[in-house]
Amino acid sequence: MDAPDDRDLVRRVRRGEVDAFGDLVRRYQQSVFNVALRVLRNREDAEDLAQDAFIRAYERLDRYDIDRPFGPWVHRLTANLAINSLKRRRTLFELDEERDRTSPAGHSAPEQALVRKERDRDLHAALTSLPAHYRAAIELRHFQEMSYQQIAAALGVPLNTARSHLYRGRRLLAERMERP
Amino acid sequence: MNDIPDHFTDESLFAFLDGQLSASEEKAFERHLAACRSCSAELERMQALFSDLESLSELPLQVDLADRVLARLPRPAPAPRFLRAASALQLLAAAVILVLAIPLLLLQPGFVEWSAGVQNEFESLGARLEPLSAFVSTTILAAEDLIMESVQGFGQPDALAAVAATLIPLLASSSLLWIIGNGILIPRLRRDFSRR
Repeated sequence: MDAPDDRDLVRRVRRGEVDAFGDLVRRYQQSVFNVALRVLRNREDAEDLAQDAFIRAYERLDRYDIDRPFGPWVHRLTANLAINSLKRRRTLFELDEERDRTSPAGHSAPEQALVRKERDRDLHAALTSLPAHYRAAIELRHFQEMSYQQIAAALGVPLNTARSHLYRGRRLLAERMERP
Repeated sequence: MNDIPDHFTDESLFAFLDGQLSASEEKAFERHLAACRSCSAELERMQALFSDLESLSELPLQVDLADRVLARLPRPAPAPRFLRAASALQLLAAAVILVLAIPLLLLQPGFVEWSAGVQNEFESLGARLEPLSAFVSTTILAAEDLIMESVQGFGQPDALAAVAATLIPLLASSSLLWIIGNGILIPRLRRDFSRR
């Protein structure tokens, strides 16, 4: 028998079958965790936030448009939650950029060993070393495919500032990828 | 951004990659690109970075979050006792009213004529249906006799017809209330209780 698709699972959850939500979690936990990890950089924080994101998704399931794909919806929700978490920690716009530039990458050696490609590993390391607001802008644009306006709204900054974060983040990322 | 400089700024380069340039700006950009090896190389470098971001592998999640998430979700609780009792009482009331109202329905003015009409219809179906027709006729006549005998102790047929006229709407509204009560209100109340 074919596995139920996301719409079926969402319908079942809405009818009160809470366990069906477990199937949705298993289906998206890896990608949701990675969204959180790219923004927060810390594995434990990302796991906690991924759980919170699924709880939030469950609470908002009545407002979810079942005709749209579930994955992008829960990923955006996670990205917004992760960015709000950074804001609450007052790190998003108050980071010492110099300190951040020299901060070590967030992955432990065993974790890095699991990354298949060397370039992927370097990119993960370069991404996690970016200042939080640049990292957030890149996450929203490249992974959540948001428009400039949506990024500005998610970050709570003017449009020009959001654009500037994105451009500078990309430039910094490219420079770091070129380091030997 | 009408004037593309000799070499691209990051603003024009990223605006081009994000599809944010106007048609004229894009043409000017591409003209410069064709003539400038340095800018062309820079564009390729950024396109490669975008491509790497797009295909970036995911880091493995080493725990299963599903059980943790499910443990934090509110579970539907069994309905409170009064709700279950209300549901059973509604069902019982609807059944009692139905049992009382059906015989009274048969006493409505015109029912005897209607049953005679039904009888005639069956009789006209011919010899092939004669056994069935006879059975139906006998059954209807027997039902009439039984009803008349059983209600004689309660009063005159006219008075009973008036009672029936009252009970029929009562039956309809009780049934409606039962459907609403069980179909809409009780599940909602159950959800509300489960969230507490």
